[in-house]
Formats: sequence, C-alpha cells, structure tokens
Amino acid sequence: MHEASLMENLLTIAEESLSGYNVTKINCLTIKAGRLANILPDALVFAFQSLAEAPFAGARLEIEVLPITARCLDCGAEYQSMDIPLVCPDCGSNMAAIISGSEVYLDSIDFEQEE
Amino acid sequence: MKIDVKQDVFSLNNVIAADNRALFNAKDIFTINIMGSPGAGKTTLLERLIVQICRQVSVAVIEGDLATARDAQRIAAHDVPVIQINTDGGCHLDAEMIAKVVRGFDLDKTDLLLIENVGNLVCPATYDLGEDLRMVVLSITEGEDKPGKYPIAFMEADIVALNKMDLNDYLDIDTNNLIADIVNIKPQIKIFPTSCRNGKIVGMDELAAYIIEAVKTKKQDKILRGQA
Repeated sequence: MHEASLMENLLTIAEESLSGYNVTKINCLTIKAGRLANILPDALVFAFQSLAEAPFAGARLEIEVLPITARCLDCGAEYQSMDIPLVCPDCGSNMAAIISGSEVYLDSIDFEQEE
Repeated sequence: MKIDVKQDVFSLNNVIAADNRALFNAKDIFTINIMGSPGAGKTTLLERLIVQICRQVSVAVIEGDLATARDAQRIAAHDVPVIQINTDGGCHLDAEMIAKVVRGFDLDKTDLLLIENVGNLVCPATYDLGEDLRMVVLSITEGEDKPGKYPIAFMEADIVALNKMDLNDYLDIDTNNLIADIVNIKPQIKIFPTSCRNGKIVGMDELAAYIIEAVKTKKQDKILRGQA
C-alpha cells in the first residue's frame, strides 16, 4: 500500500550510492523484498515509472521476493519459507520466531559511466 | 558497471525505533502498538482500558489517523494526556512520527504509552515504532476468514483483542473458527475476547490485568538488572 513512499526512499538511496560516479545511463536497479514486507512488485514498478527521473527513468527494475527466515521454537531448526503459516520442515511445528523477512533493500545498481 | 548497495529502506526507521525503545526503557515506560482495521473498535477499547487501569498506572496515548483529532478528543475526555498525529493520507505510523511528538508527554510520570496506529491491517505491521508489545484489535464483524487473509499483522503481534463479542448472537460467524485461524498463524499469541459497548463489558478485566502485569514486570526487570 505504501510502495510509492518506499520507492522514493529507494531512489534516494540509489542517488546517494551513485554520488561520485559520472553516470551516463542506469541499466538496472535490483531490489530485494522480504515475504513479510507486504510488497506488491507490480505496484513498486508502477511507483518507479511514475517517480523516476533522469538518469533512473527507463531503467529496468528487478524485484526479488526473499523468503522468511525463522527458528522453530520446538526443535530449534532454522529454516526458510515463502508460505504462511510457517511450518517447521523438520518437526512440523508452527511455533516459530521470525528472524528476517520484513526487509526491503536496494541490492545493486547496474549502470554506465563516462570514462 | 555494477555496484552493491544492500541498504534497507527500513534502516532509518529501525534506527529511530531503536532510539525510541532506548528512551522508553530509560524512562521505564511500557509501550503498546495497537493495530487493526478501521472500525475494529480500537479507540473504544482504549477508552474502556483507560477507565479500568488509570488508577493503577499512569497512561499516555498517541492517536494516529489520516485526518481529524476526533480520537484524541475522545481519549482526552478521560483526563489522560493524548497527542494526535495526522498522517495526511499516510497508511501507517513510523518511528520518526513517534520520536517527534513523544517528548510532549511528561515521560517521567508515564508508566504506559498506548499508540493507536492508523486503521489498517496491512501496512503498520512492517514499521517498528520501538514498542514492547503489539496488539491487534480484530472485531468479529470483520468475518472469520480475515486472519488468514491478513496473516502478517498476526504473525508480528503478541496479543489479539477479539472485539465486539456482544454482537456474537447476531452474526453467522463461529468465533472458534476465527480463533483457530489466528492460532494457526501464531500458536503462541494470546487472545482476549472482548466487548466494550452496549452495556456488555466482556474480557476487559483480563486484558487490563495482563497489561498492568506487563507494565510492572518491565519495571521489576529493570530493578533486577540494576542489582545484578
């Protein structure tokens, strides 16, 4: 629901990361979002198309959804899951402590620069 | 060329949330982030809760809404300090909004800070405010299929107030199915069936006792840590 504000933040991070480079073209921004972050990839792409100005406009956006990492509260196994509710693959328990899965981050930027 | 960035968009929120948490810990304040759909009964439940606990713990309230100060006015009528945040369309509260206003309370005289988030069962769940406890208020009128459809709010919650139980006789809903759906998502969650209106006050003694106990435990833990 708040993909537009997330995209604004992602673009700010991208701009800051590129300061010091003489960028001529951005090829691709890779974004990774945890399964628990409630991100709709299509809405993120739409926000990007609406908000991105030069040099970001026209760049490709790659969005990868990352699984939840959890620890089983019964057997202690650490596991990853795309599915909710969480079920331990080792013992079948659904008692879990979430380790990660809410993150949304700019993973990498692929770009051209003036030599 | 390609550069790795790996910077989380929530990193700034998480840093400010950690600052909030440090402030609340330093001041011995137990903080609850209250989430739920618009109309779930969050404010009514808060009003009832305040009436039940205000003689034992000193309460401060932050109200989050897109617009108006209606909720803050309702809370202020109970003679507790309240600050209204208007997000102007924003779908959730974030840690910075809390940090900006929280020093408006007399924090040395506050035991319990109740933060009523923007009515929304989706977005608030992904923003840490620095709270000790997350409570979802879900009214039974929303339908018994909702926890499974909005699982993340429940996965990230510690307790659920299953509200509007006074309407149970008028609805074709099986609250056992509703509870099973919540437990399926998070077995260790604590569920309080509640009702705050129509002269049927249900479950509020249990919820109030649980919260008062949590406030006391936080203070005692700090004393114990200080002695250790």
